[in-house]
Amino acid sequence: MVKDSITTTKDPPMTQFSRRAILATGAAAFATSFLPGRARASDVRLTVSSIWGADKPFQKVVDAFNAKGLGVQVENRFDGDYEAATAKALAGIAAGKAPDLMVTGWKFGYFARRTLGARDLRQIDEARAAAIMENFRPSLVPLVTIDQALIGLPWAMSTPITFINSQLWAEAGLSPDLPENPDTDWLYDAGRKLDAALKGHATYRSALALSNNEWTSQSFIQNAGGFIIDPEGRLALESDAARAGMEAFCAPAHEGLWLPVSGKEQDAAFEAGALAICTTSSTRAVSFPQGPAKAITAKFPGLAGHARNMNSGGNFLAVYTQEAERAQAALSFLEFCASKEGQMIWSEVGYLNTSTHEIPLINAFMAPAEAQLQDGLSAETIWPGKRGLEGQGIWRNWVTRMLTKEVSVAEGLKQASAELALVLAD
Amino acid sequence: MSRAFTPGRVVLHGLLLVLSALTVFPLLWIVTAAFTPQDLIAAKSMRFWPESPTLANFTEAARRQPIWAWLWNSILTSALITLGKLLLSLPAGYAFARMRFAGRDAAFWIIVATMSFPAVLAIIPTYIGVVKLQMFDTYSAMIVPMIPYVGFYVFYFRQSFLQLPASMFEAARIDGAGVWRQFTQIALPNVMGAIAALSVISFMGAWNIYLWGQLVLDDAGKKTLTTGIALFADLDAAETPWGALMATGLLSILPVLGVFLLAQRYIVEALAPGLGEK
Amino acid sequence: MQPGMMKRLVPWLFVGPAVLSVIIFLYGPMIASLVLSVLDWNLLSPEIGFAGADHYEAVLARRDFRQAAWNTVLYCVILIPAQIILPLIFALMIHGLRGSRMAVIYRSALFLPTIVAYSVAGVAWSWLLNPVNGLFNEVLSAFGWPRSRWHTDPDLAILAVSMVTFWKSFGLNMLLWLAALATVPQSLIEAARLDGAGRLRMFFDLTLPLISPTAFFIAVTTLFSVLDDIVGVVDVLTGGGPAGSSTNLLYYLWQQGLGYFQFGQASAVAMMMIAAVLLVTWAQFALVERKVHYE
Repeated sequence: MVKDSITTTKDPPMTQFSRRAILATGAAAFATSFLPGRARASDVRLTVSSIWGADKPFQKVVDAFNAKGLGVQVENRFDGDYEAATAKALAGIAAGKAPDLMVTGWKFGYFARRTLGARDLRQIDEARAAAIMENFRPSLVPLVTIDQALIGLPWAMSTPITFINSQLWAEAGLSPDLPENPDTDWLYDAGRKLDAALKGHATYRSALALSNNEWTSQSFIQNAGGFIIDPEGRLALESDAARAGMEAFCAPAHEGLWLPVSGKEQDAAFEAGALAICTTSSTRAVSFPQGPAKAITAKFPGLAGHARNMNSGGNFLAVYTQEAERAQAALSFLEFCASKEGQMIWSEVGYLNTSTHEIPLINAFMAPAEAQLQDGLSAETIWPGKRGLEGQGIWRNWVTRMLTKEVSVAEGLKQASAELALVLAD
Repeated sequence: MSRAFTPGRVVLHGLLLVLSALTVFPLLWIVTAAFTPQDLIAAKSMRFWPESPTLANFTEAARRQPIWAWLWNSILTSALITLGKLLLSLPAGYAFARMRFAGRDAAFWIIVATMSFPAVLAIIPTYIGVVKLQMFDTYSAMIVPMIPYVGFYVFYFRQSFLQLPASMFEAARIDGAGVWRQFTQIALPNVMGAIAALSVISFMGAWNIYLWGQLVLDDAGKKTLTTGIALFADLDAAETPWGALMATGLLSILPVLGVFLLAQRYIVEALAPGLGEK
Repeated sequence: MQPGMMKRLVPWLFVGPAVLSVIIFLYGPMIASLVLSVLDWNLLSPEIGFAGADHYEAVLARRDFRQAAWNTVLYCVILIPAQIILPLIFALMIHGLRGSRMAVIYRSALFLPTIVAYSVAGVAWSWLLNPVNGLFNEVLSAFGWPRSRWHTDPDLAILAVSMVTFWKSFGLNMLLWLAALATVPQSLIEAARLDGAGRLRMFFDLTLPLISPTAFFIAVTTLFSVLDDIVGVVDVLTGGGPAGSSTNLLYYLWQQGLGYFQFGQASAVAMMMIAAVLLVTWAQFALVERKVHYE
C-alpha cells in the first residue's frame, strides 16, 4: 500500500542527525524532552500539544510528572498560538496522528468538541474524572462542559486587569492609592491628567490602551449589563447595554487617549514607558511589574452606576486520543495537573488559582485578579457552531471598525450582529 | 579603468548612499537588539548601538530552542530544493533548446506558463495531499512540493543553452558523443555561470520559505530557521524574548548573506545572457 | 529498442520529469481546487457533501471577500509599477557607477532585505512603525510633523504593507535589470553619445529595446510574485487587519482555508484567482509574443 511505503520516509536519517546536533549543543531543556530521566521501554508515551515552549512553567509540570515514573511519559510539543495549534491538531487528526492531549482556548470549546472530537472525560473513566474535578471550584465545571460532555481540565484562567506604569503615574502627580473598584470615569480622567502633565516627556507618548481584542470589549459590554451571547445562547449585541458598553470602550480611542494597536505592539510600548496604562491579561503580572515599566495593578475598570460582571479567559487541557490505554494514561497526567503539587508549579504562569487547593499568590500584583475571581467571573465568549472560529475574527473586525470610527457604535453592533448571525447559524 | 570625477557621479554616489542607508536601516534594529541584553531591549524603541553588548542572546536562544538544528535544517532543505530544481530544469531546458520533437512547444508552454503562478493558490490541495499521504511534519512535505516551481528555471536555462554555438555540439557528435555526453560534457560545463546564478537565487528563495514551512513542519526539532523563529513569540507573550528572537533572526540572515556576497558577481554576469537575445 | 523509437523517446526523458512534476504539483491543485470548491468537506467531515455553486455565492456575498478583492486591485496598482520601475532606476544609478568599488557596496546593500526572513522583517518593522513610540513617528514629530498610525490605520495599512513588501522584495528585480544593463554594448552607447543623443533619448531608443527580453520577463514574474510577497508581509505585520483593511485575496484564501478550515469557500476564491491569473498570463504572452522574440 502507498501508505506503508510513504511512512518509511517519515523518519529519514537527517532527523537523527539533527537530534545529535541538538544534543551536542547541550540544550538541556530540549534534550530532556527526548531523554526523560526515568523513562522505561514499557511506558506509555503521550504527546501534549501546547502553546508553551520548553522554557515555560508548563514544561516544569510535564517534567515533574515524568519524574514520578508512573509508567506514563509525556512530551510537550509547542504548536504556536491557539489558532496555529488548532490548525496543527486538525491536520494531525486527519492524518491519523492526533495529539493525545491538547491545550485549547476556552473560546474554541465547541470547535474542540464538535469538530476535533475532544473526549468526554467521564466517558473515559467516570470515577477518575469525578475525582479530578473534585480539585476544582465547582463553578468552573460548566466552563468545560460542552454539549453535556466534560471535555477538559479548567486549570488555566486569567482575567483582564489594569496595569499602570508607576513612574509615569508619579511624575504626573497622580495618587498611588488606587481605588479598589476603579471605573472608566476615574481611569479616563487619569488618562487626561497624564496627557496634560507629561507633554514633551522623554518616553511618554500615550495615556492608555484597553487592548483591541474580543476579550476586553466583552468585559465592557458585560460591565454595562449586557452580553455578546446571552445565557440562552442568542446574540445580544443589539441591546442598549451592549451599546453603552461599547460606547465606553471606544470613548478613549475617539478622544485620542488610546491608539489601538496589536497586542505585541501594545506590550512593547508599555514596557518602553511610552504607554502609561494598559488593561490586559492578568498573566502579565508575571512580567510587567518586574520590567522597566515597574507596573502596579488594579482591577479592570467597571462602568459607573453598573454592577461589575467580569469575564475570564484561558484554556483547558483536553484528551483527544481514541485508544483506551492512552486515554487512561492521559487521565494520570490530568490527575497530576489537578493535584496540589502540580498546581503549585503551574501557578508560576500567572493564571488564577481555579483549584480548591491552598496556593499562595505568586506576587501581590495578582491580587486584583484574585479579587475579580472572588467577585465571580463569567466565561469568555465561546463561539458556537461549526464556523465558530470565524465568529471571533468577525467580532474583532467590527470592534476595530468601531474603534477607528469607520462606523458608529450603533451601526457597528448592528452590522456585527448580522454578519455573526450568518456564520454562527451554519 | 579610470573614471573622470564628474558632478554627475558625485550626485549618483550621494543618492545611492542615502538609498542604501535607508534600505539597510530597518535591519539595524535586528543587529543591535541581537547584541543588547534582554532587559534593556524593550526600554527603547530604537538604538544605534547595543548598550553593554553581549552574546548572551545567542546562548539564550540555543537554550530555549534547537536553533542549531534549525540552521542545519535550513541548509538541508534549501540545498535539496535547489538540487531538485536543477535536476528538473537543466535537462528540460537543454531539450527545449537543442532537440526537435513532437509536442515540444506545448510542453514548453505548459511549464513556462507556471512562471507567474502564486504558490499560495496551490496550498490547500497540496496540504490535503500531504496530510492524506501521511507526510505531515516530514522533510519530504517541506521539500518536494516546493521543487516544481521551475517555470523560470526552464525558461532561463533554455536561453542559456540556445546561446552555445551549434558547432560545439557538432564537433562532439562527430567524435561519437551521444546525447547524454553532449549534455553533461559539452553543454553543462559551458553554462556553469548560469547554474551558479540560479542556484543562489533558488537557495535564497528556499531559505525564506515561510508559510508552507509553518504549515507542514510541526516538531520543534524539524523546523527551519525562518519558520522556527515564530516559536519565540508564544501566546501568553508575557515576556517576548526579543533578544533571543533577534539573535536567531540574525543567524538566519548571515549564511545567505555570505552566499550572496560570494556569488553576486556571478549572478549579475550570468543572469543577463540567459534573459538576453541570442 | 528500435532507433526510431529511441529517438522519439530521448527528448521526453529530458523534459518528462519537469513536465510531469509541474502537472502534478501546479496544475493538479488547480483541478483539485475546482473539485473542492463544489464540495462540502474539510479534512475531518465524516461525509462529503455536494455544494454546487453555494460556496461561490456565499463568498461573493461576503463583505470581507469584496474588501479583499478590492485590496488586491489596489496592491497591484501600487506595487506592480513600483516593483518594475524603481528597481530599474536603482539599477541605472548603480550601472552609472560601474567599475567603482562603491557600486558593489550599493548593490549589496540594496539587495540585503531580500534575504531577510519574513518573520524577522515583520518584527523589525512593527517596532519601527509602532504608532505609539516607533522610530518613524519619533522622527516625524521631531520635525514637527503629525504622527501617523501606519499599519494600524485602516486607511494607511495598504500603503504600509506595500512599503514593507517593496523593501523586502525589490532586490531581485534590481539584479535582473543590472544584469541586463551589463549586456548593452558600451560601443553603441558611446556612438550615440557622440551623435549628440540625450540621456533619456538614449535610454528609450537604445537601451530599452536591447533589454526588452528582461523587461518582458520582469513584467511577467512581478505581476504575481508581488501577491505572494504581500502574503508573507501581511501575515507577520498586520494579520490582514485592522479590520481586514490590509488583507488581499491570497491571504483571505489562506485564512479561510487553513485558519477556519472552510476548504469549499477558500477553493472558490482560489478558482476565481486562478481564472484571473490564467487570463492575465495568456494576455501577456499573446501581447508580447509579437513584440519580443526569443529565438
